[in-house]
Amino acid sequence: MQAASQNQLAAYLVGVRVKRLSSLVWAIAGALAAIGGLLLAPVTLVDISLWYVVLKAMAALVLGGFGSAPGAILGGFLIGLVEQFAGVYAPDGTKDIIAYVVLIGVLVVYPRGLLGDAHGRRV
Amino acid sequence: VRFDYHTEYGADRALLRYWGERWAYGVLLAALLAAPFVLSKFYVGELTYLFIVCIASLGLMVVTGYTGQISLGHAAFLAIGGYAHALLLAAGVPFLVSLVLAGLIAGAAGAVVGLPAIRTSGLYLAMVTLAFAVIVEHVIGRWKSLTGGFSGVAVAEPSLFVVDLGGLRGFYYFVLVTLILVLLGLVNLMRSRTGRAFVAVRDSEAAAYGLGVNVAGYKLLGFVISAAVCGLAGALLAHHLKFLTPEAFNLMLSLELVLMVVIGGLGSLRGAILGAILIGLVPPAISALKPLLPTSLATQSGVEIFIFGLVLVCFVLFEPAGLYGRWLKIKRYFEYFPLYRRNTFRRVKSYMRSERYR
Repeated sequence: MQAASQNQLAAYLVGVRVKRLSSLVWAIAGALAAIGGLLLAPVTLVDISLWYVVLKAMAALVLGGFGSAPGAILGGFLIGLVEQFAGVYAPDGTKDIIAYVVLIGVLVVYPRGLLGDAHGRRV
Repeated sequence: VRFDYHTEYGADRALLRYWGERWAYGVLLAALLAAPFVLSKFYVGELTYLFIVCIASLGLMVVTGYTGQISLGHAAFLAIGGYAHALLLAAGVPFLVSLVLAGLIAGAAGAVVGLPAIRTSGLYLAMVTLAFAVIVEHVIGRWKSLTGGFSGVAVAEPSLFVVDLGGLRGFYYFVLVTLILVLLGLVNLMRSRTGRAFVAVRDSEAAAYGLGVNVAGYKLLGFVISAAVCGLAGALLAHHLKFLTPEAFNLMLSLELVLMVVIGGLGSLRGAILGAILIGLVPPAISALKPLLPTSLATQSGVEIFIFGLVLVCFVLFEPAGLYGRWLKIKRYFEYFPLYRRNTFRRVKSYMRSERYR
């Protein structure tokens, strides 16, 4: 998976089945998201606009940085905590946007996310 | 087969090089000029909306198609332009000045977003712009004293000097002229040093940097120009909607703009217009087709979004170069009639793909 994400062509040449792998990755990602949905269903209501949750999840992922599972968890915790605290302590209405403000702020300082892979720029 | 045979230097630089092109565009222009006198009011309004969307799509094309920076938040610039225009008009600023100021204000907002955004790239950048759009939408909704919040703000009727543009026809012509001016400006910009620098930054940042292109500066400039053009479109959209609410500039609009640019074909202004026309025509087409569908399907709420998604998926799968790429292929087929080779375009494609492996 890592090889295919870094360079598909090279991964293909060393015998990784890139096409099958990407199908597999989608399957795993879908299954994980479904588990998330199962756990979320008792907490919130289930309706069409549930896809807005994905935006928050993306924010969490980007906040933590790609290619880092601890980063995704850290980002998820950060977004969740910041939002809840803002709902209590910050003025009314900031709860909805505080996650995105934090996201922009963090990405300005750490353009690759908090725990993102810090390899140099490839040419 | 057409031969390039020019006797003057100016002929090489002309925007329309061949008689056929000049005829085609002349006929198109004449048709558009005559349209309000032939079509019914409904279609004139739809055409006006289509032109406004074309301007917005052109704006996004500058930053996504030419500079290679994805943005999921351009509805925010439309919103900023629209609200700035409405508020300036309410404050008594003349129409044209207010229109230009709306573009400049949106451009300034583009600089504010662009400064942090150019540090990031790829999906990170997409998230930053998306976050910006969400923030702007909420701020407009919450800042009741200025924007009227979710109850909205009314837009004054447009008037140019003494001419009243409030009528459908007058506004149609004004939007058409604006679209042509924006298009000409961007076409010339893309042929200039700046436009070439944009393309260099898109194709390879490192190579552009090595050739002495100020990468960060041009990325920022791309953002600013794009935001300013979108702000202008937003100001015109304000007149079309007549009443501004934050919901008019939600995430869906941003996504539609991205769809237009991708479906039209990244990296061509014609593509931006073709994509805008296609996406702009989908809702009327669906409502026209609805009576033909079985009632159980026609009354579903998500049909439009479903068709949007379907169109995008089909284009990415079958025509990655977009509408403009397909147009080029058809044109080339007839130009070189017996000698057309499919691989002319395949080579370009594989080159692009190898670029993606960077």
